[in-house]
Amino acid sequence: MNQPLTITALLCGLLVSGLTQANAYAQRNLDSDGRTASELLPASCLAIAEMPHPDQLLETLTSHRVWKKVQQQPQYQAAISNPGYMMFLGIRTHIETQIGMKWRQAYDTLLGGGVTIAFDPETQGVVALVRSTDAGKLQSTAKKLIELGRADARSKGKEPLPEDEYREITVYGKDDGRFAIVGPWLVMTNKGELGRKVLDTLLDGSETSINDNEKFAAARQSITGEPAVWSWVDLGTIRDAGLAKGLEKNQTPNPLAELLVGGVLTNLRQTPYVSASLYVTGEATRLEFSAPHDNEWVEEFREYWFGPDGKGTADSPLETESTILSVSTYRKVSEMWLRAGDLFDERMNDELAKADATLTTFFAGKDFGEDVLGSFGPTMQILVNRQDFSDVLPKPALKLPSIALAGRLEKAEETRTELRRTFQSMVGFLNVIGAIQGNPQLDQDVDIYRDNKIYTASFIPEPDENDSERARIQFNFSPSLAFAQDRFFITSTKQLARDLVDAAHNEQTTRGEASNTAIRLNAKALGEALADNREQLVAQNMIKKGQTREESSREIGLLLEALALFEGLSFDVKTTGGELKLELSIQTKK
Amino acid sequence: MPQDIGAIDPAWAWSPFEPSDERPWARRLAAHLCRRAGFGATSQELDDLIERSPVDIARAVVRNAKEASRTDPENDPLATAMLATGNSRNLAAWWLYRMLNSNWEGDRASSTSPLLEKLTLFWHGHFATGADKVADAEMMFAQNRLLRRHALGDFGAMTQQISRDPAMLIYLDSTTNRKAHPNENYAREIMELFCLGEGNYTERDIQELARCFTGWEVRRKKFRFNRYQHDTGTKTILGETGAFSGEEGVDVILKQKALPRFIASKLIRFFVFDEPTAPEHLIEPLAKQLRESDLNIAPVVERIFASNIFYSPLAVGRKVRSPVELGIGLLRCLNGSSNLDRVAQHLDDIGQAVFYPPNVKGWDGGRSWINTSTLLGRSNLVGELLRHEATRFDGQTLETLAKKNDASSPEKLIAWLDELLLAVPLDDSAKRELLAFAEQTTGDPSRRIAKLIQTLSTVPQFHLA
Repeated sequence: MNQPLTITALLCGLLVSGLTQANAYAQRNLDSDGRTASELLPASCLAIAEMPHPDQLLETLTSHRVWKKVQQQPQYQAAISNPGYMMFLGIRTHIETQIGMKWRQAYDTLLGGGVTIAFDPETQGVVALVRSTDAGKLQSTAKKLIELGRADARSKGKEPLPEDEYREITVYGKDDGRFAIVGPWLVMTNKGELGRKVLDTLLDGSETSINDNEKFAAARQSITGEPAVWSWVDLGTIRDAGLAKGLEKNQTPNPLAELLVGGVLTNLRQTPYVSASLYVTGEATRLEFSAPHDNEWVEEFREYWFGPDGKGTADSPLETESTILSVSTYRKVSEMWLRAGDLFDERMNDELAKADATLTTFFAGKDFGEDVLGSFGPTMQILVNRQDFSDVLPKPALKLPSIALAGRLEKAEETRTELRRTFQSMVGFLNVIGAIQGNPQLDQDVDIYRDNKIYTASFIPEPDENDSERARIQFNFSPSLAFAQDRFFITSTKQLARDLVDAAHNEQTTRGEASNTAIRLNAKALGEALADNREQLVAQNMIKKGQTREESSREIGLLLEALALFEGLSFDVKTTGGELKLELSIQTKK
Repeated sequence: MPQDIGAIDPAWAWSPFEPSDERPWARRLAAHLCRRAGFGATSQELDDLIERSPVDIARAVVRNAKEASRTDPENDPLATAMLATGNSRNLAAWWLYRMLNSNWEGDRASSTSPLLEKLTLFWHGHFATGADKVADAEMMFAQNRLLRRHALGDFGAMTQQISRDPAMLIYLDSTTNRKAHPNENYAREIMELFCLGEGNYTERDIQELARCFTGWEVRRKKFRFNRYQHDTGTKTILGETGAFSGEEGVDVILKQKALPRFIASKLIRFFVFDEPTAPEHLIEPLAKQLRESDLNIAPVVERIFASNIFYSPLAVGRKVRSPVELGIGLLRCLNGSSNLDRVAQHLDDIGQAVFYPPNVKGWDGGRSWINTSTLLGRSNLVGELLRHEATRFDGQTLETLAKKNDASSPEKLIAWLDELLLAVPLDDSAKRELLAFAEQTTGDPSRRIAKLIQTLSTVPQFHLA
């Protein structure tokens, strides 16, 4: 019982700390109440969040190896040794003695039947329903805590907790905070009217509840598995009431935001509701947002995002063991570029027009939006890979990851020539700039690898730099262009170009998912890339946080240790089965 | 004790200081030494220093000011990491880290001496070179190491090396110097700003010296001598005639009688007092010592720090704190640490971006540090240092530091800060006002102390060194 109190347990303790015994009539009839919280909520509720098993969630979290690792950290140990926390522990022990239960037992008993919070627009109120697994324990605990609270208030010269009656049920508190206990239920609200509605339903039953809301029922039906927390928002009604002004705009502030979330905005402008489910297990934490989706809702200017008939899916991400981050999407960028007038504001359109003129010049007069971007297929992938410098000289002092843009060519034969010529022009341009600035020069070459041509450019070291292990930052780069079937790869290093050619030839290195957008973060590769630059990170901490080398090394060590507990992170956007789904998952090591 | 610098007896001025009842060797005078020879000291360091005599301390401070020949596990990797970014702005934070973490003992493997850093800063202002024009962190770093290596050594050797330093030559547009068109920039600055001062050379001397430097070039960030572009003809510089090379031309400059006087006068201004300009008779003993020690800097600096005049009212509180002395000094005295990147930016805002001197003359110093704009900036710097989330004092808080120094009551706190941070003691009226302020301030003890220090920073004495 020396484990620190979790936030949930603390909340429970605070919430229950003002309760008293409800009237005997209600208790006799409701002790074995089998209704769910949603049956008690008015049909007018527009948003709800449910945690059906808080006890199980807490158990999962407190037994998780990440939490155990956190408990071993010096910062945690320091935090639980401070006087404020020690005082808190003393108060907790006192309360535990009074209620005759340890805090964890109290948490499991008092919240074990679930916690539900809902918003009702008619009363502008929020109500929380907490169900205990033992109505008797709830009553007795509440009585003790209220006695304690009132005694404490009197000793401090404050007004003790007031109480009132509603249909023979004792209601505590006043104004914006009232609560009551009815059988196994603890009802809390910030609006008296909403509280009365719920108590009336508890006592008399009700012909309608939120369960009668079709949208709510539909969302409920779509739940898969057993989420630890589930929530739902009636977005259609909120939108109709003019409470979601932000969704009324067609335009996003910049092209990157548009590329990332433009399609989600389209959906939110039409979808009747949104639900979210949080799943927590020992191996992963998954947050899933779901909203009904109909391709008819997609505006013409956003077809580039969803693809024909809304069925555009990203390519299976190409990955290697060293891949830190992969972002694979379906986006017809050429269409987005040409429809910029509908998607962005005036200022951004001016900027894009300037960029279009410059890029058209750079691509030898070819129209950048129509001809250059138009020659690329709609699937694109950005990769960030850790670089292995173990057998490489010169070795840069700052070891940056390599980066690549991978895509497909619409007219492969024609476009390859154009891309190669532009790549060579770019290298020549960089050499001129480099010569002016006294930077090393790039040496162009062609590498035939697995029957594919890789056009490369490598920096030439100075004679005294050949064996350097602290070389300039430029030696992180050897810009390359590679082709494999209809794919093209523009990479920051020759090695990454080779790896991608390998990956394109080797189906076993890919894993496919029918996502519109798939983002993968590999914690192991990220940890290794950070470890490669450990000295740099230590130095940054010393400068930015004023730490000593020892302190900084320890902190960076802890960061790397914490990262080692995770497998990775994934984020997917999918449009399947009439739904738009956003799934975020954090995987921990087993 | 003479009150007028013009009438001062040079023999008395440069004689070793003997503490007296009137000028006792206590924390306040030791703090004066630490402010001038470094960036201040903590109360504990001051207590250690006053155990020895001022003369012994001056000797030890100079002796300890040597660049570590061995690998420095604290500073070397930090420099490497900062250089890896290729950004000269990051070097500023690295140097501030060195200044802040320097120690007076000089026997720890992983730190540097405050005097060594202070003198490197002095030479950085003397042989001013700006990273904005050089645009190469490696070259700026190499020059900084050069200055540190020679900071207390042979001025002649330093001048010879700085004359071939790529960063310096780039800064003075001397990357190409052909015999057909000798570049006079470096020749002019070495006479006017680096060695002799105005009035000690002619335009003809500059032109002739510039011929010596022909063939000196910078290629691929390194010095190169192009013998085909060197003017091998006879030159006459400051009365000497010969087919001088660049090095021989510098040697001619180094032999001039004006040089020791020029350097001694700059050392006096930097270490002793801003105003007035030191009279000739006060400069001469140090110039003579420089000449006799073959332009060796260390003996002169040691003499300054052990001298009567250095500890007299003619010197104490007679300099305006530079931004670096203000910011690093505050942290150093309170055993503090903070985000040095931010500190470097603040120092830039108030006129002293290290590695970025304003021009080839370096920082003017003295009263030029203070104007209506920088005064507000200086107060902001103090405020931010005290409040920044990354700032710690003695590894913890101002409250713990104050308790450690037995400054638990407002009176004791003011007395402690007065002695530690101010060159000139507060008068009774100022003390009373501060006490009233301290007693009115409520809330978190560390915040209260921070507010008191910030209020103290509005007192004129706070800006004097």
